Amino acid sequence: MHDFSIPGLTPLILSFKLAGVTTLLLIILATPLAWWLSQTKNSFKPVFEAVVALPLVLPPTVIGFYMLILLGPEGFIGRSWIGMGGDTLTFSFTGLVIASMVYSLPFVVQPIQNSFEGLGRHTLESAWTLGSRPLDAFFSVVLPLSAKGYLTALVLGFAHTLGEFGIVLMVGGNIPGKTRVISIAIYDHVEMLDYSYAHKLSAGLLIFSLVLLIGVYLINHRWRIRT
Amino acid sequence: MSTLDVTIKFNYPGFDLDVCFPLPTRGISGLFGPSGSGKTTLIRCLAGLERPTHAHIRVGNSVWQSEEVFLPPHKRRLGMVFQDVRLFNHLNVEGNLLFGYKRTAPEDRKIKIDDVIAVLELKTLLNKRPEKLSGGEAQRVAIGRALLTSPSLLLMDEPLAALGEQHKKDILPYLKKLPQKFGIPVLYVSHDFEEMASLTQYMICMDQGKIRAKGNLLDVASELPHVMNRWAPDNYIDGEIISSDQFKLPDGQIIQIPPSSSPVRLVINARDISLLHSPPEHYAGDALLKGRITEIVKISDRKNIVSLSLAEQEIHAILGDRGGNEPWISPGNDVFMVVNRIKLETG
Repeated sequence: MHDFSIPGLTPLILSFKLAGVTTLLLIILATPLAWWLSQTKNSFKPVFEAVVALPLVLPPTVIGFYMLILLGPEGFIGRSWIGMGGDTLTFSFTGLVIASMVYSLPFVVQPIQNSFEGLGRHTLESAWTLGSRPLDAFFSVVLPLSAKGYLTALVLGFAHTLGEFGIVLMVGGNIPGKTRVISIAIYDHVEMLDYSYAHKLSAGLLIFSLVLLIGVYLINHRWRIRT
Repeated sequence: MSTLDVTIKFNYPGFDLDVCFPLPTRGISGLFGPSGSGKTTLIRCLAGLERPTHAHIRVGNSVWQSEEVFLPPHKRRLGMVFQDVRLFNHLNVEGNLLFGYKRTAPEDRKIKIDDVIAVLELKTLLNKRPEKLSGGEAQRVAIGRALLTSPSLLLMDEPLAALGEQHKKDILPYLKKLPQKFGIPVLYVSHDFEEMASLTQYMICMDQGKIRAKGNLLDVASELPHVMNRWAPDNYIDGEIISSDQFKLPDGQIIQIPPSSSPVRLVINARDISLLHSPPEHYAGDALLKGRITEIVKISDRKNIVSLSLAEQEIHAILGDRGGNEPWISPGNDVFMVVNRIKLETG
C-alpha cells in the first residue's frame, strides 16, 4: 500500500491524516461550543472555560491515561463505540482521532471564541435590524468576520496535533501504518541511535511548522493593515 | 389619528422606563433628553433588541409587541441607524447597502437603490471598503443601508454624536431630506438641542425614564431653561446673488453683502436680530429685513424666542432684556428686523 522504499513517509502521511481529520472535526465541533461560550450569561461559564482549557496545562500522559481508560473496551466511550458496532478504539486510528480532539480542543475553541467575542452583539444587532434571521446572520456576518480566528484555529489545531507524542503513545501505541505517527517514529530512531534518520524527520517537521506559522503571521499582519 | 402607538413599561434594576405616546406618521420626530434618560433603551425596545416587561407597540396595522406577541427584530419592518455606525467590514459599500435590500421581500421593496444612491450621494463610494470611509461617509452608508429595507419606521440613535462639527454640518442636509424623499417617519434620538432644532419641529422630551413633555419643539423646550439659555441657533437663508455685492431673497428683498462670486447662503445668528414695529430712519447693522411673526415662545420674563417667516423660510430670533413683551409682537404681524451681523456660507 505504502512505498516502503521511503520508510519515513508512512508515519509522515499518517501524522498529516491524523492532524487533518482531527482539525476538521474540531472546527465543526468547536463552532457551536465557542458560540455558546461567547454568548452565554450562565454563571458557570468560567467552569466550562476551565474544562476546555485543561489540555493546555495537563501533562499529555495524564490526558493519555484517562483517554486510555475511557476508550478501552471497558471504558465509557470504548464500550459505547463497540455497542454501536465499532471496533476497539484503543490502538486504532479512530481512537487516536478522539484522543487528539480532546488534546487540541483549546487550541481550536479559544481563537474562534475570541473572534466571536470581539465582534460583540453590535454586529449581530445591525444584521437583525436589516431583516437577517439569527442563523442567516451567523453565516453571512459572524462567520466571514471571524475568518481570522478560524485561520488561527485551523493552523494551531493542525500543528498541535501534528506535534503530539505522549497521548499518541499511550492511546495508540506504535503500530506501523496504523498509529505510528512522525513524532513516535523520531523517538524510535533516536532510541535505536539512528541519529541521521531522526535528524531528517525532525528537520523536516521543524521547517514545515515554521513555514506554516510564518504563513499565518503574514496573513494576520496583512489583515491588521487592512482593517 | 396616529398609526404609531407605543406603550412600554420596563423595569431594570435601578431604572424604570415607563412611556406611552403616539408618534406622528410623517416627518422627523425628535426624542430628546439628557444622557441616561432612557432614550436609547426606548428605541432598542421599539427595535426588539430589548424585551420590555410590558409593552404594546403598534406600527400601522402590524403589532410588534403586545401581551401575546413579540416580533423579533428581523421581522419588524424597521430601519435602525446606530451611533457607532456598525457597517460590515467584510463587505464593500455596495454589499453593505444591499444587505438588507436582499433580505426584503421583492413586493416590499418600495425604496429604489438608485434613489438612495442619488439622495445620499453614494455613487463614488460603492466600491470602497468601510474602513476607508470618513465618519460622515460611513454614516451616510449606514442610513442608506437601513433605508433600503423600505422600513415603515426609521430609528436613528444619535447618528451624529460620534462625528466632528464639520461632518455634522455636512450630513444634516441629507437627514432633513429623508422623510419627504422617501415618505418614512423618522424617530431621531439626540441630546443635542441644536441638532434637534435644525431637524424637527416635533419633540418628545424624556427624563429619568419618563416622558416629560411632547409637542411643538419650542413649546417643549421653553420648559427647559438649561437648554434654552444656551441655545443660539444660526438661521440659514437661501437666495441668489444678483450682482457681485447684492443678494436677493425669493420675495424680492435685496441685501448688501461683501462681494462674492460663488453661490452663498446667509447665516444669521438668532441673537443678532432685533425687531422693530416700523422702519427706522437710521440703523446700525448689516441689514434691515421685513418678515412676519409666526410664533412667540416665552422662556422667562426677560427672554422670548420669536419665530418669523422670512421669504417663506422659518427663522428664529432670540430677544433678551425684556424684548418681545411689546403688544405689537404677536403672531401674524409684519415686523422689521435689524440684523447686526450677516455671515456668508458657500454652497
